[in-house]
Amino acid sequence: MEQVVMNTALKASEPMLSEIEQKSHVDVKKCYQCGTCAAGCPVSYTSDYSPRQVVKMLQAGLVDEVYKSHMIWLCVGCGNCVTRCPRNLNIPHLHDTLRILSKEKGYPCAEKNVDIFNDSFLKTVEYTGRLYEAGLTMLYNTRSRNFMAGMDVAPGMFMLGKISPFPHLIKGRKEVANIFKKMREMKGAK
Amino acid sequence: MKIAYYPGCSLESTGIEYHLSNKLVAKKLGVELWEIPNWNCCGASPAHQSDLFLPNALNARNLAIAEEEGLDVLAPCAACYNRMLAAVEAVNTDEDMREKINEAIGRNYRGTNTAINMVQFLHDIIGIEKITAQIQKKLSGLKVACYYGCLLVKPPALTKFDNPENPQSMDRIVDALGAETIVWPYKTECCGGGLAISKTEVILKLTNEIFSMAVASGADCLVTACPMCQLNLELRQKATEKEYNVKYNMPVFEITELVGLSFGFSPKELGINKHFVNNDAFLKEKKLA
Repeated sequence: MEQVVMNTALKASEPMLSEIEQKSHVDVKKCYQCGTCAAGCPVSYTSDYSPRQVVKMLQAGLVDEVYKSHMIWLCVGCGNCVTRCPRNLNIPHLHDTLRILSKEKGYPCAEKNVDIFNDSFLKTVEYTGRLYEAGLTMLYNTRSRNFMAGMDVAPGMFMLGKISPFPHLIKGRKEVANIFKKMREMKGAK
Repeated sequence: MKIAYYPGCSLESTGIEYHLSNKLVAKKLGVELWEIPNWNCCGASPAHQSDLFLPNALNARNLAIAEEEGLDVLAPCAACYNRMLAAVEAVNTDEDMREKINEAIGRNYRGTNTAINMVQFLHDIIGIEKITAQIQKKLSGLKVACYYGCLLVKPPALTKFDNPENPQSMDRIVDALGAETIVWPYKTECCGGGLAISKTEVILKLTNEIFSMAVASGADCLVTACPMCQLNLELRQKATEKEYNVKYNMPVFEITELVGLSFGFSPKELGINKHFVNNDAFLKEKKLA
C-alpha cells in the first residue's frame, strides 16, 4: 500500500464516509476493533482484508482501498459477524452497501466472477420472473469465459430431472420487469 | 389450517424432493398450503448484493399477494425466508421505501404478515405433539447432525428464531421421530452456498469442515431445512472428497423428508431417490426403504 497521511485521508473522505453511513445505516465509528467478526468470518481466509480491517480502514478514511477490496465481494452474508458483534454493527449490510456503491462509482471489481454471477442471475429473473438455471449457466459461463463451469455436475442434474432446459415463465413477469425498471429509474435519478 | 406457501425457485428444480416432502407432510398434518399464484424469485444473494431497493421490492410482491389473502408465508428455503423477513422489516420501518416498493409492484403492501421457516412451522406452529401423533415408523438407528446453516437463525435481530449459535428446535423434531441427534458445534457454520459457482474452491473447504466435524461427532447423516444448504452439501461432496482426499458419502436430508419417512411415506414418494448422494444402501441399512 502507498503511504498516506492519515488526517488528510480522513478529511478528504468525509463526504464518501457520510454517504456510506447514510445508505447502510451502519456507524463504523462505533467499532472498537475487538476482531470477533474476523474470527468467525468463513471467507476472510481467502480475502485481502478481514471485516474488522474493512471497518478500521473506513474509520481511517481509506475509502478507495475498501472499494477496491476483495472482502466486499467475497462476503457471503452468513451473519456470523453481526450475530456476535458487541456493538451491533450490521457488517453484511455494510458490505452489500459498499459493493453497490463501488460499482456505481466505477471502481474496479476485485472479484469479477462474483459480479458476473450476480448480474447473470438477475437477468434471468428480470426476463422470466424466476431463476432460470440453464440460462444462468449459459450467461455466466460465456461472460466469465469459464466455459466448463458447472459441467461436472450438469449431467447429473439433467439425469435426475432437476434442471429444465426451458425457463418457467410466470404470468406476473411484467410486474417483475417493472420492479427492475423502477430500480433503474431510481439509480438514474441520483 | 391454511398458510401461504412460497416454494422459491430451488424447490421447482434442484430441491424438488423438498417440495414433494413438504406437500405430503403438510397434508398429513391437516395444513392447506396455498401456493402464492405466480410468485417471483426472491432475488437471493445477487439482489441484495446489487441494490438496496430491488430485494425488498421482489419479496414485497410475493408478500403482498399473501397479505391480500390475510396469510403469513411459509418459506421452506432459508435464503428466501431471510430475504422476506428483510422486506417485511424494510416496509415497516422505512416509509419512503414502502412507497417506492408499492409504486413498483402496483400493489399496496402494508407489511402486516410475515415469513415463517420450515422448522419454525413444524416446531412452533404445528408442535411436536401433533407430529408425534402421526408417526408410523420410528427412525431409530439414524445418527443425525442437525445442520441449521446461517440464514434460518441469523442475524437474530431479523429472524428472532431459536438460538443463533446452538439452536435446538430441529433437534427436538428429529428426536421426536425416534432418531438420535448428535451434539456438535457446527450447527450454524456457513457452507458458502452463495459462492458455489463463482468461487467453488471456497465451498469445498467449508463443506469439508462441516462433514469432517459431523463424522468426528458420530453422525451418519445430516439434516437441513434449506434447499441451498442441502444442494451445496450433496452436489459437491465428491469434489470435496477428491480435493481433501477423504471419503464421506454422507446423505443430507431435508427435515420434511425425515418427517415424511416417519409418517410412512416411501422414499420415492418423498423424492428421496433424487438426491445427488445416492442413499439407497443407507436407507436399506437403516430399514427405511
